[in-house]
Amino acid sequence: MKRVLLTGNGAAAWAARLAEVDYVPAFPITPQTEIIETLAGWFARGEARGRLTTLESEHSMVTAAAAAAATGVRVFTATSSQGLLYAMEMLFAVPGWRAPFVLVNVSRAVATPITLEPDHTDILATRDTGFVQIHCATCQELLDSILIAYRLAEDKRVRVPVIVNQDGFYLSFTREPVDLPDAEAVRRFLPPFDPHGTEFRASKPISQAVAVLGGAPYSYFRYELHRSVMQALPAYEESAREFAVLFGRRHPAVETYRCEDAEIVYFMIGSFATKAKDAIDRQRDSGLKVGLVRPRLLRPYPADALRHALAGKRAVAVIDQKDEGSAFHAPAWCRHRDVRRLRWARGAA
Amino acid sequence: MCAGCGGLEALHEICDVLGRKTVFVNAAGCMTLLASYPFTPFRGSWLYTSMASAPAGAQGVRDALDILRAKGSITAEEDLATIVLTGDGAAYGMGLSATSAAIERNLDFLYICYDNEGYGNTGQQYSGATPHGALTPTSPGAHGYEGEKKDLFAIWVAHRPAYAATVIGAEPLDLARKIERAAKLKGPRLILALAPCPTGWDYDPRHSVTIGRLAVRSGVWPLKEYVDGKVTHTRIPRPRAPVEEYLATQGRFAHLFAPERNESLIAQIQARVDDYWKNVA
Amino acid sequence: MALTPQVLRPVAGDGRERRRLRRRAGAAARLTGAIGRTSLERAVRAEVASHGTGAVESSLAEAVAAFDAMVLHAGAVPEGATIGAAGYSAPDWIDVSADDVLIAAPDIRGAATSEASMTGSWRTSRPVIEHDRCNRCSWICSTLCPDSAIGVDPDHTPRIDYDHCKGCLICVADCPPHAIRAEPEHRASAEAVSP
Repeated sequence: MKRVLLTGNGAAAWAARLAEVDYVPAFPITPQTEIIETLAGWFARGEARGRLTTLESEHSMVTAAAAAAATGVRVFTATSSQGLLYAMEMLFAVPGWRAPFVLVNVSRAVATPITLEPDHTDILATRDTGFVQIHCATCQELLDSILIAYRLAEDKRVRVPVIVNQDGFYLSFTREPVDLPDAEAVRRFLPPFDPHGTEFRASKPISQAVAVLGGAPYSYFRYELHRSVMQALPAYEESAREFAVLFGRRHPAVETYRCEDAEIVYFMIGSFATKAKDAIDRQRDSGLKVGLVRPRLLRPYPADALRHALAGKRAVAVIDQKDEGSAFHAPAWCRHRDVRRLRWARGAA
Repeated sequence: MCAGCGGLEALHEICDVLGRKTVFVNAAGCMTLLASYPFTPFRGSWLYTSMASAPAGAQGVRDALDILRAKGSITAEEDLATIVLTGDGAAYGMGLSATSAAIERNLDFLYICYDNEGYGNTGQQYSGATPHGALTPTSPGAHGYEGEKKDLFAIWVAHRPAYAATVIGAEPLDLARKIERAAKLKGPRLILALAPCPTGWDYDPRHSVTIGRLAVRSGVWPLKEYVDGKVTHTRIPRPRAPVEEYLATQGRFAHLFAPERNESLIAQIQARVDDYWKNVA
Repeated sequence: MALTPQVLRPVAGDGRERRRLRRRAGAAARLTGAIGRTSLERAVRAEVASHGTGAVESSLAEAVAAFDAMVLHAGAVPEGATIGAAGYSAPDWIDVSADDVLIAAPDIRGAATSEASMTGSWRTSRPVIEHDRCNRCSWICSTLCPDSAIGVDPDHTPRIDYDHCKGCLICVADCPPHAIRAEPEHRASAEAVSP
């Protein structure tokens, strides 16, 4: 293991390299492009073994990613913002293929107006797609989360693709110290890709992702997808625990900071939450009892862990890096629809 | 598929030649319903993708198979020919970008388009492949469709693919020869099959082959192939049957003949066909 | 044959089915005991008005006759008890197990499973081969069949697979010696049942 200065994009590329991904279908978009350029360079110079193909759109890119995963190889891809939205039809479609792969999103605000600034409107639009979704606050966490994501996606109980999100500019282009695990240790954490029966071979004819006409069978397949995504909750705990044993870094599904005696907690995701830690320290100095609840795993929603973290708190300040359309005139404390649902479910608690 | 489907007839003949070591990557269209849980008619494999991105799905499958071969994880016996199966709706329109890019990447795939000259699966609304004057639910006026049929064969040829051919199920020997030839080549290969459609073109299903033969004999559907930079016609109809013999068989052109003959529209269609064959040796 | 796209639109139900619906409505109204004759008549008039006075009068007659015929069973279908949410607990049969992806993905693992889909039931006409006229060319009808429903024996005798033949009659139209004839399906299948 060595300690290096890496940008978020550099960390993402290193994670794909350490995971020994076979295939990278790619399409450039700011602020993600550096990831695929780094991988392209390594592949061309033989420093990493893999194949990169540029598709002509993100919609095609996600199709190619899932198709390659469905054939039986380990796949990595990345996009942002407009590209994530362009792929949206396929983001809804491919979890149901039950072919695992990892997509890194470098979050960036969406048009209109067209911009390069970071926010979470793009990634939060994918909450209902069926992808497992992990949010990272540091470059180290990003690298680690991508490795955990492969374990999770390829887990027999799960077998759905995973999105790992890093914030554009704040992480993607900012150098932070990162411990690079060595390849052998990663191989112990991540066994070789096992298609688990989902593959194309001449001797085993299979028709994948076929049309299903009829309400009951359709509902069965959709509900099974939901059940499998929910299995990512225990599977995440196990993967993260084993990661901690091998690499010494803990990444629970929900991070809490100075929450134990907090009266008010901030609820934030991603690297913007690191600013909250700074604010909390200063507010604590002036006597306010505040803390931070930061979900890393956003889908499946870690409801039990969040209920535990929020229990007994007087107030929750949900600070979204996203506008929900109608929140144009909203005050600083925006309503996060997931937290709202959680509080409904809690009832009087 | 509907009874008498010209597209299915072509696919039947194509599969007889290709065999079962295949994976069909499908774009949304009539034939999406060929594999409908739990029934598939294929002896090989199948992957449904979306309307716009079947060629990208084929790219992913082909790249993954190549990776597995290079790693030694699979043998040549386990490898599969990657085939896109698409209707004209995706091929001439929504999927054209993905198709063009796949050819340009020199993807090794066979691309089969069953062309029933409209968006068949939704009720034969007009598409980029609809011929001039055809009555469709979205071109219901006295003139029928005002546009012209896009020349997909020429678009493919402009990309200089490994192979391109037009075929029709009504001419099985010509079709079989072309599939055998295409199957031996590597790279992007187009098989464009005119698919007479009883439901969409409005005729008794038993006439699919008769109408297919008339499409060829009237010169409306040229049988040709492109390979090594050259286009060769594999059938030059001599004499060419008048185009109205072909048009009169189908309800979608009935307005050309009743309540009275639309001489100018028939002449327009004939002139365009004549113009095409003028430039053919 | 009518040659317009209107042919493709679904055909409306016939008069008998509409009359059955009016009678059922009248009977159902009486069974609940909660819908009176006047309300029934008002509803029938409103629904059928667009079909003209004749249709309204005949529909009313049907509905009211059925209403009256149910007099002995008036109110036989009572209103159910109100279901309250207090004390509700989810039945434990709702949960579906998380199946392995080998089952839970919309995949078909196998070849040609469509042999089990009896598309022969679509037929309204069936092709019948007259073997004494057949030249045993070995390939024409079997190749042109879109559904691959004609097999050929080693001695070149063609055999139609009636489980899957949709009755398009392309083979009838294109057999060069005209050795295949078309028969109405209802007659052919009746003959098949009674030897």
